[in-house]
Amino acid sequence: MKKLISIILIIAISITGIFFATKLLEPKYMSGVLEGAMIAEYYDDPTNHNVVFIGDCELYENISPVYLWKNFGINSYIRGSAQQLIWQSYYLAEDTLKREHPDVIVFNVLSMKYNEPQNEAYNRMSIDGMKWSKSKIDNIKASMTEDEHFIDYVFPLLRYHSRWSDLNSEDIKYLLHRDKVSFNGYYMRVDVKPAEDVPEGKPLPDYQFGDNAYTYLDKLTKLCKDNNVQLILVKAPTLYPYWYEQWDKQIEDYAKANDLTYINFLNLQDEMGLDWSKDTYDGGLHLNLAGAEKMSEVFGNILVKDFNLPDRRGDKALEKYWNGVEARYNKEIDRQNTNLKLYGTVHDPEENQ
Amino acid sequence: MSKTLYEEHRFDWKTVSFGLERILWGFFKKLVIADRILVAVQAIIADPDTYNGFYAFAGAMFYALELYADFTGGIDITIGVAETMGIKVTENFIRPYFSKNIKEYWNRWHITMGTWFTDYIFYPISASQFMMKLSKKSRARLGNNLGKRVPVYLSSFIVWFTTGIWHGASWNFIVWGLGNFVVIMISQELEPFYRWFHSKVKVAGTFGWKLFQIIRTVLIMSSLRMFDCYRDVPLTFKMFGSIFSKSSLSQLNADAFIGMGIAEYDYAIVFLGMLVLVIVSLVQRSGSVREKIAAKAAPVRFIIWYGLFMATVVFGAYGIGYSASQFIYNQF
Repeated sequence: MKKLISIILIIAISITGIFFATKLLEPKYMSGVLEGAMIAEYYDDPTNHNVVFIGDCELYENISPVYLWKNFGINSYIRGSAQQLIWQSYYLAEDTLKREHPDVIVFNVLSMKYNEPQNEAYNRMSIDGMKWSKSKIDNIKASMTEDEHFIDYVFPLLRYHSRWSDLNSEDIKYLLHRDKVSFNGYYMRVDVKPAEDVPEGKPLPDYQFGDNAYTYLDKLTKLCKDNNVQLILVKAPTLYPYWYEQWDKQIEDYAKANDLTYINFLNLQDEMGLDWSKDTYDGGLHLNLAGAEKMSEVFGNILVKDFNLPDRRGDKALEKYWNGVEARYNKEIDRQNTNLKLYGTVHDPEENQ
Repeated sequence: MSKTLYEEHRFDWKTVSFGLERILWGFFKKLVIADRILVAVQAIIADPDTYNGFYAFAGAMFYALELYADFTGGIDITIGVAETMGIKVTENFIRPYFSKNIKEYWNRWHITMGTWFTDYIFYPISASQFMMKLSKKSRARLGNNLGKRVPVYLSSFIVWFTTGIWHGASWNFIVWGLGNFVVIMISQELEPFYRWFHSKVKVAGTFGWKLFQIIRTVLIMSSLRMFDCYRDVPLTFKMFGSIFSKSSLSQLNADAFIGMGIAEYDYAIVFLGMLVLVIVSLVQRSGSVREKIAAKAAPVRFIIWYGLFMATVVFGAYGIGYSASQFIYNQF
């Protein structure tokens, strides 16, 4: 009996030690690169969403769920991450549909240009935050670059152990919890950097989207159809990376063939009233808050009129939830504007060091 | 080895845990020490025009540590795996850097290789009819004293020549092998001098003299290993010469060492790892370290082995961001 207790104790202490070492050494994404924290934040939202946006920064920086709620009563979430690849979007959609049943899933089609795994760092930011499930396992297998190993996802300590030399006070502060960095998935920037001299896209040797990309687009389409969810394909109104006509045609044809809605917001810039001297914070790659709210106004109208999404303002639980999100949203607007005035950047001084 | 391979093996928890401990120790040496300092070694070797003088000396010392940690680490893992299955494999390294002369060094370093060359090259050649005849003729021509050396020297020359080729079919390995031969022969020839010296200067057996002998052996072996580092005979001689002709105080420059691609905390980890190695080696002189640990109370055993495990996992130079470096032994 004594021996059994010793063995149990040894195992318990060993696992606890590995757990705390992992928690200490894994990146927290609470400053600097915030995007890594976004995928995990989704699970803290207990509400049922009518719209879930899934895709890369062209969604999570260009649409404001807070604006959609305030002005249309649309309860939405953006499951976005940096350079999210289409297979990652598919498995995130699969994961989402295991937990809730939105009326609409919106997918940004820029990721169709990637046919193979790209970058380990972006993989980790898109995948680490997912809760463990078959979807996560399949996501990892589909995403791993050549130098990655599955076991590094199971035991993140094997990947992040080298951070011991970069540990700082944030690693202790956020050992067991995280602050929210997004607003139902929206990454906010209030600053302005006008778009100037955005280069035209260079001619490509081959404009055809890859087979792997199409396979996952088919899977996403089927997933939504099988679950009675409307899939909307979108192209965000960003000037760079360049969106070729040949790519646009492929998506148009695909949408027609599969009875899907495709909205290219590049064609709706006038309707949105986008002003590239004021509505972008990085010279046209992404919209700032002003631009995101303009896009949200147009998209919100489309969602309500064409997709009959309900106005859920008045729902007490949702009102309470969104009051909290809106309070943080307004606080963040103030914080960023204050920093801009004081330091010329939206970031706090400690982040600038 | 065939006896231990084919005899019956029963599960024994102590054997399995000792084997696992040995494997862990091997991974610690390989991942925490060898693969970390390898970055600096590679930087020094890759740019001999910049990293000459004191840097070349530092490179030789780093390589000595890296080679030992990598080689013995791999052997520990191999022996540990065998041990978990109840198979006892011969020890291959017995604290070689504690050797006081090159002959002792080769009795402690890569023992199985030395034994093989002795049993299958040296003895057959030296006991051959040709050598017997040569011995007779040389004693007749050169006298007994000088004549008896000829077959021994010739056999040793052949052994070290083939040892060099065994490491790689290139001149740097051959010169390295023959360099060992020259040092061994010189140290044998100097024995009368040593006897005379010790009769006049009473330092034999003192701590200071033993330390001097150990450092001397390490320096000689590390110098010879420069042929392995630079893989080019003229360049090796040039870099060895630069240690004496181009070393300067300005080269004792922390920034330059950090510029080799490893940070100051990496050097700290290597130093601490080396300290652990030395301590374990010193303790090992009086018996098995694992037996000593096994005799301690359970919490102490747990702290030691769990601490070593976590140190290896956290401080190991592996994974993304570290270039995968194969075990050195794989090359041979």
